[in-house]
Amino acid sequence: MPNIQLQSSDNEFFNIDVQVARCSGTIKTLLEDCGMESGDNVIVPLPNINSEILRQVLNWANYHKDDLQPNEDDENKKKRTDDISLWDAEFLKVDQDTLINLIFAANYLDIKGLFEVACKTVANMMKGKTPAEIRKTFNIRNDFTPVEEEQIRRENEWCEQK
Amino acid sequence: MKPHPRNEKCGNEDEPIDSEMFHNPSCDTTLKNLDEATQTGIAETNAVMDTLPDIRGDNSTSLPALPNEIWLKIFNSLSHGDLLQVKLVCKYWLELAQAPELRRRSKLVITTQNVKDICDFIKRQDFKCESVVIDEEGRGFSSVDREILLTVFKHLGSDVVQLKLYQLSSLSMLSSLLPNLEELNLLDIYPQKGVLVNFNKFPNLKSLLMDGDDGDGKTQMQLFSGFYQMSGIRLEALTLNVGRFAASCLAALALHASSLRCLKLKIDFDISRDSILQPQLEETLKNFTQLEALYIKCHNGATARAILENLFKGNRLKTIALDFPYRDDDDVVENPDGRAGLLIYLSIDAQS
Repeated sequence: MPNIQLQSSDNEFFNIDVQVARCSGTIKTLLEDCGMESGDNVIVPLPNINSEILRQVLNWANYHKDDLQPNEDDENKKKRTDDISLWDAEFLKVDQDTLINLIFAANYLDIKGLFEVACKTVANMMKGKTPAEIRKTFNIRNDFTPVEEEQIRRENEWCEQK
Repeated sequence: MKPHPRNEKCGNEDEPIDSEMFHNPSCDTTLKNLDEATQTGIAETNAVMDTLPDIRGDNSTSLPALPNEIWLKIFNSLSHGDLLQVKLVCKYWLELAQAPELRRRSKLVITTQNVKDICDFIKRQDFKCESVVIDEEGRGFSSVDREILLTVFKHLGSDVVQLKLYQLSSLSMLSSLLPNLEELNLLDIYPQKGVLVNFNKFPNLKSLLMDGDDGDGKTQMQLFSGFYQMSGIRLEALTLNVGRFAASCLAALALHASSLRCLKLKIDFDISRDSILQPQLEETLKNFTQLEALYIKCHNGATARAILENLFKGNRLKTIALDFPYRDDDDVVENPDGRAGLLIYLSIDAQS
């Protein structure tokens, strides 16, 4: 199986299977545009992904390399956040900075599956929580005045789900 | 900076970019684009942070620096209730949560209790809502309330795309303030005498929901006379409960048959045995050239069958949903599970 090399921002090289690399829409397009489907002797520099994050991304891609591409039209599936597989849930048990960096990397590399599941994990960190609890989770300062807060609460009361 | 490859197979360290892809002009472009994409990503992040001088200036907080569109994506998978909590977290998230694609998921419900509050609020600050329900169920609005409602719609009206209301008189009062209305829900309208609705005030109307069974004859006559006078409006979606005023309903349906893409029909009687209505319906069905989705709720399979058999032959239907009580003598569709009273849902590919 042909290999490809990815170069992280801290100049570490990762020698990986082309099929794993093709989980990334960005790399897949790059290889196709250059007519290098085989991937031999190709080095792709990834100047904004460090080796720690890249290693985790590749770990995810390696496990999911045989997955079918998710159906982009399936809005219902996108809306659900309780369909995270056990393996993914374990994989994403990381600190918040790492999780955010994984989302960045997945977005940059266009790895839809990882991007979706990481975003869902962040959404789950907000679910069922009060604003104060959400602020604590994400270390956000409350910049509303009590009057502003009261106004939003009232506005919220007028709005219902469609 | 010297690379420190951990993987021994990675080869020539000193010339890591000595590969033929860099001699390929198209490849150079791609790499440049990739680099640009990186730059854009960083710029976006900065743009996000620029909107947050308060938060950034304060070292005690470190809001994860994701671009706006990623936060929006995350917020989009939250329930309506959770999204309301998110709006109370900080100003930046409030601003994000008011993005049109998220706002579209909630509707403003105006009641006799909150109409005054909403009016006060709307005068003081910008408040937009695409979907509004004027909930006059139970007690109707007093004349004072109606004045306030009018003020609310002077601010809000041009943004309203979807409207549901219970009193025809409110609709006629507000009709000139709703230029962008696309969907009008009159399913639960109360009978009211002497009120005419001019649908032509809503030039962008695409979807109408109405009940041709409820209410007294006069209300229906008023409603349908407005309906027949629609000019220049071609509805794309129609929900119609065909009941006691079936002839009016079918005539209304015929007017929009050629533009409809989605039709939801509820029929309360066996139309296949009606010698006047059945041919009228058949004739109308032949004009459904654009129809993509058809939902039929009726009390027996014969009616559903009569409709399905007479559809325009080259139709574009992608979805047909039938809902009727299952009985042995109904042979419209084979009942897959043999269970009684089953909702039967067919998804038909237009190509096949």
